[in-house]
Amino acid sequence: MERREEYEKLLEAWNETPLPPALDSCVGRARKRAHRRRLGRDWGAVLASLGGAAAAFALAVNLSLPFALACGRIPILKEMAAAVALSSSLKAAVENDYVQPVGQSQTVNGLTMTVDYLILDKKQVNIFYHFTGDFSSLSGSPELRDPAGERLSCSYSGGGLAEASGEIHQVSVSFGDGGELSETPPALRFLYRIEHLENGTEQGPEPDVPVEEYDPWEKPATPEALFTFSFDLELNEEYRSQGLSYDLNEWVELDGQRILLKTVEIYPTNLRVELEGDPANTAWLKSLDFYIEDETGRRNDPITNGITASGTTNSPAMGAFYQESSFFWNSRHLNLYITGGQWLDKDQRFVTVDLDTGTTKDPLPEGILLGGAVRRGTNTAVVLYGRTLEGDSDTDLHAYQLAGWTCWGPDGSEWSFDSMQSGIDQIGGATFQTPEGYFEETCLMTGYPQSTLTLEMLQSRRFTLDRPVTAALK
Amino acid sequence: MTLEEAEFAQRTEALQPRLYRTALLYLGGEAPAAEAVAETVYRGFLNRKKLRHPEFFSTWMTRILMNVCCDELRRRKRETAWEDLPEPAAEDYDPLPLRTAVERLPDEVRAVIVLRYFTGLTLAETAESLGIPPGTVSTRQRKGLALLRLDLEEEGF
Repeated sequence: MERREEYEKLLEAWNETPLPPALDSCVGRARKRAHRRRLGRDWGAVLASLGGAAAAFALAVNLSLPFALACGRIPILKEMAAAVALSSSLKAAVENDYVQPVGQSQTVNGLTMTVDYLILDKKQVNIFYHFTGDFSSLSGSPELRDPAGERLSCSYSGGGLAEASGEIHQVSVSFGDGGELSETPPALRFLYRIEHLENGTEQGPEPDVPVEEYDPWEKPATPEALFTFSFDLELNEEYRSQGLSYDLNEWVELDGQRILLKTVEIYPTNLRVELEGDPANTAWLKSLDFYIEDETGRRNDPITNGITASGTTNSPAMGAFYQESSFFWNSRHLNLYITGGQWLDKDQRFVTVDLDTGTTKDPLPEGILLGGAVRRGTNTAVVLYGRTLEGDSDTDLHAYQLAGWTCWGPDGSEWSFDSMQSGIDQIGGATFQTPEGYFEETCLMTGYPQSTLTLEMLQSRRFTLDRPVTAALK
Repeated sequence: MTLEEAEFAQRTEALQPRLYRTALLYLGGEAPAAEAVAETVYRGFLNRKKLRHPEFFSTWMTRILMNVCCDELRRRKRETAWEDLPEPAAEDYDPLPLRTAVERLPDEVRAVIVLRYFTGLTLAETAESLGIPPGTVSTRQRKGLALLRLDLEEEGF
């Protein structure tokens, strides 16, 4: 057959290719996914992950030769290479054979889960696992317990069900972020709960709801667990003791505020700077731009996907800021350089919104606008707009959280939003238009009887230092 | 004027078959193509208010689709980086069935061929969808047609 004729036949066949059933109700599922994006906040203890999720699609992967060679030494590290590609700390750990093999498997209903490896130190445990079998209609979530089955007080991120059979996924568990455990324990129980995808049933996903019938206040039912995998993991003492600590105890001035640099701790899995603000400061520190440099000019990387800061319930300020580690560098000298960050001005922490007029008399933080409010009976919604971040484009949204989950009534009563959603045009008959250069976040709550609501804002302004503040570690 | 949710749903539904077929030929395999379209619809839904000129909806969605497909191809390459084979020589394409030959084209050339000669985009729309200059589209389509030994009009097909 001539190429031209072959092309015409192929084009004809291509034009008649039917749409697969997997794409039925595609828009409805996209809407649900967008609206569900901010649900499920109960993971972990006191924790802040600032800007982590936005980096999910910005993967910069460098398969260096030493890394490829290291992958050759560990049997299934081809899959593991993809799992650690986002983290220079974990890549360095693999290059240095700093990996505890596990190899435990369990099979339930034809689905096999295997915990392959651990990369852990004094403050963090990274659990690498994979599934084999058909899990196309399933979703899952991890949970960490102690060996006796009691829930562990810790923070964790990641932990999704893999997209393809055999693909390795990872959950990162952090200790010492305000939870009861300050260090990695000798053992833990790793549970993985399997459920139907999107509240579906064995017959498939539930049918789509037409646009006009969608109720943004409706709380999604928690799907019942089909079954739960359970792995008891012993954490090697040699790995658990790894970590270096440099005491600084040095007061510095950042953008007119006094900050005590307490310690820099360098673990194989991450590096953390602990600090504390002077109570007399007019702002709390919410994020910190910094890097570590050695005598060769080598600098560590920021964390692109994971926990970047942590704090306690006692203060809105963050007490520790994380970056990728320099643990395996073997440097003679290390210096800390602080270049900027983000404040929450103490007089801008709370903003009271009149739900009937959709207005506020309080000044809003820089880059945040109040789009309005909706009150339908006791259903309440507050629409906020945040200025988009660098890297945002007309086809890729980079968003961050604008307000806290806790809010307060005029009598001081404490409430909590049910969900924070994005992509909502119309709520209770009211229409909202996101201004150019901003993204929208809508905070929703049911059962709220009052006409005013006080929000807690999470940041107010960025600062960049003309000259970095430096401190010598060694 | 931005795109309301109902209009987004309506337009997406109409465009979905074309998006799926484009992804099918570009990525190969029904499952990755369906996943790419689902991801495209999701990103489109989230970003729909940024589309200031709804008349460019289909080009805009195609651009998102191509970004998603590129992410997927990068992910595949990341996992098989040390197994990459050199690009086949031009004569290697001759004995292949056309569909297989299209699938074996270098990624950036295949994207142009799929959009121009299967999806039916104009040269300008292809350039906009891929975020590259029209001249680059012309160069890549010439290379693709030559590799495929396919004698088609280069303009206005």
